[in-house]
Amino acid sequence: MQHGVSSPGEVLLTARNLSKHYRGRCVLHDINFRIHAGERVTIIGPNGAGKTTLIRQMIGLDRPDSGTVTRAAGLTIGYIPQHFRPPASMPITVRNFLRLTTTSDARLEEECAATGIAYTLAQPLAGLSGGEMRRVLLARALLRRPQLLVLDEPAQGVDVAGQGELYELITKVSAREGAAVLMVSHDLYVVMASMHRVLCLNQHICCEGSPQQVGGDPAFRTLFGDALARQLALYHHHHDHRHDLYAGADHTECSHG
Amino acid sequence: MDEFLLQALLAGVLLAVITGPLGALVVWRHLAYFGDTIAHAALLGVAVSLIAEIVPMTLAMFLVALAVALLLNLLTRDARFHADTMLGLLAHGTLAVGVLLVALNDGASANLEAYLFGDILAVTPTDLALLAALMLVVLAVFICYGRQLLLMTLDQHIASVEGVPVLRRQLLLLMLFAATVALSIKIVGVLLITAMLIIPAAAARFFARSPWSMMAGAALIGALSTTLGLYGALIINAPAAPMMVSVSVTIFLVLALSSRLFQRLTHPSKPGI
Repeated sequence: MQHGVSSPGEVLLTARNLSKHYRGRCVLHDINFRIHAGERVTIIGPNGAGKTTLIRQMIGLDRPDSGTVTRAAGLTIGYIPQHFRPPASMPITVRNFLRLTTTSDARLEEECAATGIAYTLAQPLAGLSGGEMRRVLLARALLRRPQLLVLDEPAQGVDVAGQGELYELITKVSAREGAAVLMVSHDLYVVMASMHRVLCLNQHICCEGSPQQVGGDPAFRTLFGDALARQLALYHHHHDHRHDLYAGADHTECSHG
Repeated sequence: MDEFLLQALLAGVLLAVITGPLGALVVWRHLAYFGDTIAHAALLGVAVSLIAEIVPMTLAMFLVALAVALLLNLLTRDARFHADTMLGLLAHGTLAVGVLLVALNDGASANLEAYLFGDILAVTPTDLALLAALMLVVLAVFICYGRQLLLMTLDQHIASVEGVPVLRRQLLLLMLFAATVALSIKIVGVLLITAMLIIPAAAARFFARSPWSMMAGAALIGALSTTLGLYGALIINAPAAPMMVSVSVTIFLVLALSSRLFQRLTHPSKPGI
C-alpha cells in the first residue's frame, strides 16, 4: 500500500472564498487558505468562531454555501473527531477496532508501539480513558498512512499532564510520516512550539502566520496563563474592527471589509 | 412431522438468522424505537393492500415501511423536536390509521390480531422462499459491507471521511429493516418484531467477545427462541409469537444473571468486554 506519498510543497487542500451560514447566521465568511504537504497548521479562535465548521467543510463532511474546497488527487486523510464515544453495547476490543482498518498484524503492532497503546489491545474500546482513546484514534488514523491528519480539539477530555504528551506524540508521528497536520486547539501554549502556522479564526480569518508572528508580542507569553488574556493577546494586534468576543457575539452581517 | 409445523419452524429459524445481525445493529445504533415505528407503519401497508387489492400485501408493507423510514429521516431534521417526538408521532400515527383502515375494510376485526401478533402456522412456501432470499441478502450485505457498517456505527464522520458511502449504506439498512418487517408480520406480528430484533442481540452481548460473535449469538438465541416458543405454544395451546418472545426474554434473564454471577466469581470489580 503506497499511501501517504506527497512531494514537499504540494498543496493538499485549498479553500477558496468559502462561506457558510447556519439558520441565517454567518459562521464562515470568505475563507481562503491552503495546507501544504508536511505542514502543521493550528486553527484557533473563540467559541463559535467556526473552527469545527471550517474543518468539516475542508474534509468534505459538509458543503459550503459558496466557495470551493479542492483536494489533491488521491489524498488520504486521517480524521480524529472531537467526540468519539463507541457504544458500550458493542463488544469490541481495541485490537478488533484497529483490525477494521488493517489486516496486517505487523502494521497494527507497529502503530501501537509508536503511540504507546500496545497495553490496551485486549481491553474493551468503550472502557478507555480520554487520553487512551485519543491515542488509539491516532494509531488508527496512522494505519492508513495519511498525508494529512485532521484533529478537532484532540486534547479535549485529556488531563493536563497528558495534553503535552499527546501534542508531542502528534508532532512526532506526523513528522515521521511526513504527514501534514490540520488541528483545532485551544491549548496554544503547548501547540505553539510545534506548529508551522497558526490561523486565527472568528468567522473570517483574522490573521495567520508562524506562531511567533501571531503571538509575537512580548506580552503574549506573560499573558498566557489567563484564558481571557490569551484571547486578547491574539486579538489585540493589528485589528481595526471589533470582535465582540465576550459580549455574546452576534455576527449577523459578515462583511468586516 | 406436520407440514405446517415444519414450515413454521423453518420460518422462525430463517427470521432469527435475519434479525440476529440486524438486531445487533439496532442495539448498537439505538434504533429500538425506530424499529418499532417502521413495524407499526407496516400495518398501514396492510391497510393499503386491503384497499388497493392488486398490490401484494408483503410489497405494500415493505413500501410503506420504507416510505415512513424516509419520512422519519426528513422529520427528524427539524431541530425544534427531538427524534423521539417524531418517532412517537409516526409510530402511533401509522398504527392508529392502520388499525382504523384495516377495521373498516376487513370487516371482521378477528383478523387484526393476526397482523398484530402474527399467525405463524399460516406461513406459505412463498413466504419461506422470500425469507430465505432476504436471509441471503442480509448475509451478503454483512459479508461485503460488514466493516463499513461497523465503522459507521462507531463513528459516522470517520467512516465518511474514509470514503464509506454513508448515505447509501444507511438507505441499504433501511431497506433491509423494511423488508424484515414486511416478511416477519406473519411470524411475530407488528407489535413484537422489535422484540425479535433487540432481545436476542442484547442477550448475546453477555457472552460475545466481538461484534461478529454478537451477531452470530443473536441469530442462535433467536432461533432457539422461535423453536422453543413454537413448541411451547403448541403444548399449552397458546399464541406462538408471545411465547417466542417470552422464551427470548427468559434466555436474556438467565444470561444476565449468570453473567453477573460469573463476574462476581472471577473479577469482583471489573465489568466484562
